[in-house]
Amino acid sequence: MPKLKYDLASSHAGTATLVHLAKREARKEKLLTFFIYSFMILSSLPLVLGYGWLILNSFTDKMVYGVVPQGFTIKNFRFLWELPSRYYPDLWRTTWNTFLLALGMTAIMILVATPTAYVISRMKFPARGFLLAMTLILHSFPGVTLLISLYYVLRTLNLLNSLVGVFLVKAGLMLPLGIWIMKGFFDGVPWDVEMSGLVDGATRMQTLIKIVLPQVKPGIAAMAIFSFINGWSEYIYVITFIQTKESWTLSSYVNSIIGDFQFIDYGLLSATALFYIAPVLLFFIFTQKYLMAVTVSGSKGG
Amino acid sequence: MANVRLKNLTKTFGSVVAVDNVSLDIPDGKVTVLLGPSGCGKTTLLLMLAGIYQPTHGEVYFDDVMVNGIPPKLRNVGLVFQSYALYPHMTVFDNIAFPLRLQKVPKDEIRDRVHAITKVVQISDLLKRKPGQMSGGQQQRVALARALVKNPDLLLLDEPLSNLDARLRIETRVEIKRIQQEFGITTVLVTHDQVEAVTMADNVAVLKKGVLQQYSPPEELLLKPDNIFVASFMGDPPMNLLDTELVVRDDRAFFKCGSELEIPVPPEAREAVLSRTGKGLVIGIRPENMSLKEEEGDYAIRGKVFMVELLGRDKLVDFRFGEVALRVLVPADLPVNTGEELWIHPHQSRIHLFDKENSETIPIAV
Repeated sequence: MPKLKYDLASSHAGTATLVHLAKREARKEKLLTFFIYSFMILSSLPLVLGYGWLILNSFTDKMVYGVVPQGFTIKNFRFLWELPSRYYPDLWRTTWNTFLLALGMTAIMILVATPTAYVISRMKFPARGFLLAMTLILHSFPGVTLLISLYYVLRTLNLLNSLVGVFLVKAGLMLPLGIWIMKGFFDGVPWDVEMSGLVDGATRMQTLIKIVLPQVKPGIAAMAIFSFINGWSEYIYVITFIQTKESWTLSSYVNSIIGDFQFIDYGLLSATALFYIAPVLLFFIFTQKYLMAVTVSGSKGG
Repeated sequence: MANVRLKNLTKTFGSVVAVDNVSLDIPDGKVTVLLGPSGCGKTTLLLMLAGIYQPTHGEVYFDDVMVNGIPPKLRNVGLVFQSYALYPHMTVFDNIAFPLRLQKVPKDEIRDRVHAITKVVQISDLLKRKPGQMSGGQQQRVALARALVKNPDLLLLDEPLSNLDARLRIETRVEIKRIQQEFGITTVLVTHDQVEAVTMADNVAVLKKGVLQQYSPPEELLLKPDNIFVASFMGDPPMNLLDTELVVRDDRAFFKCGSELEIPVPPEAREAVLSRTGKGLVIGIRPENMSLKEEEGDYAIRGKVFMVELLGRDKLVDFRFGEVALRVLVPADLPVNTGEELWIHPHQSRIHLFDKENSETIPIAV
């Protein structure tokens, strides 16, 4: 056994005590890790089980007692090639609508939030602080409280039953968050680097495009993904403002299966739900490392 | 190359005056150092030369052309920041090529010029790296190359050495000086480190709270400080600065400091100081401008050693006269013990005298 250097008296008792202490510390640490993991597993179990049930249910004839799957089938997915009933709009058109809304959200967030955040982060102008505060307040409004007033606004503007209406409402409510996130990223770019660009012969605009924007790319990516997912899964405004089936998105589609005064086909419901979330799940798996950047916003990893 | 002239330059941020009515002539091809404690406005001054900040009052001239309002891109200056401010998403090559690309220099020429300058700063083997993959010293060289590659008329360096470790700092100091001389480029360097200033400068401008204190070659800062601030800021260990007043006894004049210390007035100085009898004065003697001896001398002071501090090559010997302390620097091998009584011999020509009221130097004819 290697002797501890500082244990000059070489008292065996002392060494033994140290080893003992170290062991106890290690045991404590293990126990703590065990508890932390147990807690995390337990608290995420309902979610995992929920998804598990969804997947199983969409591929089986029926669930005995609601939980035991029986008989593999893909007939629940028949909605992919035939209309479940004449009440439903074309699935692919609905998917396309959902995609358009998500893409539109992404586009407006990048095109509006990024330059706005740059100006707020970098330039001095009257009422800058006020604007910043207002943006935050705007974001903290619960969207539901605005439903009725927005309904009137959209009706007046003749934007009911149109994706554009939902898009504008969502953009208005989402932009403040995007601006705040992007402001954080812009704040993280040192002034020195921007000044260097100016001295090196760039204009303010060239500095923004060639030097500052590349450094906030993780932020833009994160915000884009976030907006895409947010637009894809939008529910409340779509349900409220869009009745005509041609403008439905997938959330209205899934919703109609539950609520159409009919016997609920759980198999169909699970299958459509799976169809609805699959793209987002896939998308998330491939882009999560960019999304993580939001949580560490400001600190630029190497 | 250019000479640069600042005329009554003032910069305010809100109610804070960062630079206060500074006039300077920065000669062509020389290194001029802006020296001062942090927050003295030296970086603000530098950024006004670069054109990033616009002066509130006063003018900046490059070769007699007023450049106020001319944006940085048209000034042809090279700037190295303390943080180096490299573009983290670009390789070293792209970093250095960036100013040339903006000038629309042809590709072949860009390649040649980047290769030439990287040879000078010795980073030819790092061209494909990104800034994050390099040490501080290497990043510093890249920043220097990026500033030099466009053949600027004026090179501005903001604390270029302060992020380097002590050893690298000495190397880089020599390196920068070598490159500066090789290109003969007018250079303005900002620092708070007096050693850096003294070693690199042809001229030093000392600033305090935005006000120019003294502008002179570095040796004059040590030998002939214009005021108490410069005297106390320059030199390590710091100058002994003692509140004093002139007393005359038995036809001999003394600087009386506190109740127990009396420093005899050197005969050369008598003329200048006698008129100041009874007025508030400050006497300054650098620790290295006194020697310790066993023997008495004409203008020596008898003192008892209070403490001895070894500083490597030197020893700092601390004498106490009541509430007043006097520190003397002697070679480390001189045997001095605490409690010992010795004669302190001030070098007569190295005694500085200041007016306590406006803290300005009172010239003593030597």
